[in-house]
Amino acid sequence: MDNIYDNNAADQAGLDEQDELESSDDSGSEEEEEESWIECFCRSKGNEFYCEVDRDFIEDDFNLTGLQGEVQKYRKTLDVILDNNEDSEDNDDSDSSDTQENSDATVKLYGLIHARYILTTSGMREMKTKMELDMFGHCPRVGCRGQGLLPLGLANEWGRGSVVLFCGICEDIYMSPSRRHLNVDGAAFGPTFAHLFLLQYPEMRRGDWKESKFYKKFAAWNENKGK
Amino acid sequence: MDANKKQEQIEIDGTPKVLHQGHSPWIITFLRQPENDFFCLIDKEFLKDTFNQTDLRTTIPNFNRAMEEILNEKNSNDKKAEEQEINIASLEATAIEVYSMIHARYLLSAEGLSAMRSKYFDQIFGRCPRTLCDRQPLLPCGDSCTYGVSKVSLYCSRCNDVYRPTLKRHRHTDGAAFGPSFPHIFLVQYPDCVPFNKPV
Repeated sequence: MDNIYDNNAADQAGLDEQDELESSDDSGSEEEEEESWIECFCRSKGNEFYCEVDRDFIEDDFNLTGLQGEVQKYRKTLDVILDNNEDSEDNDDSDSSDTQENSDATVKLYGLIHARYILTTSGMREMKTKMELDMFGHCPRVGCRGQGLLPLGLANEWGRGSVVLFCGICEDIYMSPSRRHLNVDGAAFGPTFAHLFLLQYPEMRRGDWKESKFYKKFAAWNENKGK
Repeated sequence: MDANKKQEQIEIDGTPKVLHQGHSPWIITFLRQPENDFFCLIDKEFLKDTFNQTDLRTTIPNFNRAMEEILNEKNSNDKKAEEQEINIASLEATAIEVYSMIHARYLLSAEGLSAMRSKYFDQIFGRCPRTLCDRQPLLPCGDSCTYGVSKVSLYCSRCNDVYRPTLKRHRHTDGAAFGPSFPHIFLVQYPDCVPFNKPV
C-alpha cells in the first residue's frame, strides 16, 4: 500500500491550504495561438479537476441537447470553446465590458458539456488517468488510508455550490484543501459521476472497502432482508 | 522585580509570554519552527518536576543529557553523562522525544488545556475537511502513548472521526505528544467547545 504521506502530484501542484486565492486565467489566452481554448482552460491554475473534452463530442449537437437555454449567445460561446472565432477576433461588437461575461458564459457552457462528457467511456478513461496521477488528492480520513478522491457536484444546476471530493471507502464528501477550487462549480461534474466511475472501475476503490462500516451495515441489512 | 532579569516578550500560543533571561533557547527555537505549530510552551517548573518525568528516565536513553539541553542547565551531579560524547543529531532527536512525552502529560493539566484552547480557537489545528461538518475546528490526538508508533492525527468533535493534517509540515509531529485521550479530556474541561449540531 502506498505511503499516504508521500508527496503526490496534487501536493506538488501547490494544493496547500495557505495558498492565496488566485483568479484562474480561464478566458482564452490570445497570446498562445497554438493552444486551443480547451487546453488553455484545463491547464490553468484552479482547473486541475477538469479534463479536456473531445472536439467530436462537442461538435455533435445531440450531446448538447438542452444547453441552448443555459447561456446567452450560445453559438458565439460554442465558437469560442471550439476556437472557431479566429475570423471574428476583430469584431467591433465585442468590447471590454463584455469580456468577463463572455468568459463566465464560456466556462459555464464548457462545464455543462464536461458534466456530460465524463459520463461517457472516453471521459471516464481520462478521469481515471487523472485519479491515478493523484490530481484529486487523497481522503483525509485516517481510516481510509489514502483512498483517492473523486470530484462531485451536489447539484446539476449551475451556481448551486462548488465542487466537493467524494471518497469511495467512507462514502463521504470533503472540501478541497486548495482555495482555488472554491471557484469550480459542482455542476461541471454532477452528482452521478463519482458513483458511476466506481461501478465502472471497482478496482480504483482500495480493498479496504469491505471493512468499512457502510459495507458491513449493508451486508448485515442484506442478510436480514429475507428473514 | 529583579532589575537584573531581562524580560523579553514573544508570542507563543497566540498570547504574549514574558520570558526571563535564562529561559531555555532550545524551547524557543523548537516552538518557533513552523512544523511545531501544534506544540505549546511547557512551564519550566513542570519540566523540572521529577514526578512528571516518571518512567521517562528509564525508557529514554540519554534522558538527562536531553533534559539539560531542553532546560539549558548543566546537571553537575551526573558526571558519567558528561564524559560520554553524544551525536548532536541524536541528542536533538532525544530532546524532541522528551519534550513530546512531557508535553502529553502537560496537556492534562489546567495550564496545558488552556494553552491548547487558545490554539483551538485560532484554528491552528485546522478545520474538518468534511463538507457537512461546517468547518468545525479540529483537535490533535495520537494513536498511541508510545513515541515513534504513529504520527499526529486530528479529531473532529462533530463527526467523531480522525483526519490526517492537511499541511505537509505538520505530518511529522509524533502522536505521542498528544495522546489518544487529549481531545476527550479537552471537551470535558471545556464543554462550550462541544458542538451543538451533530452531523448529518
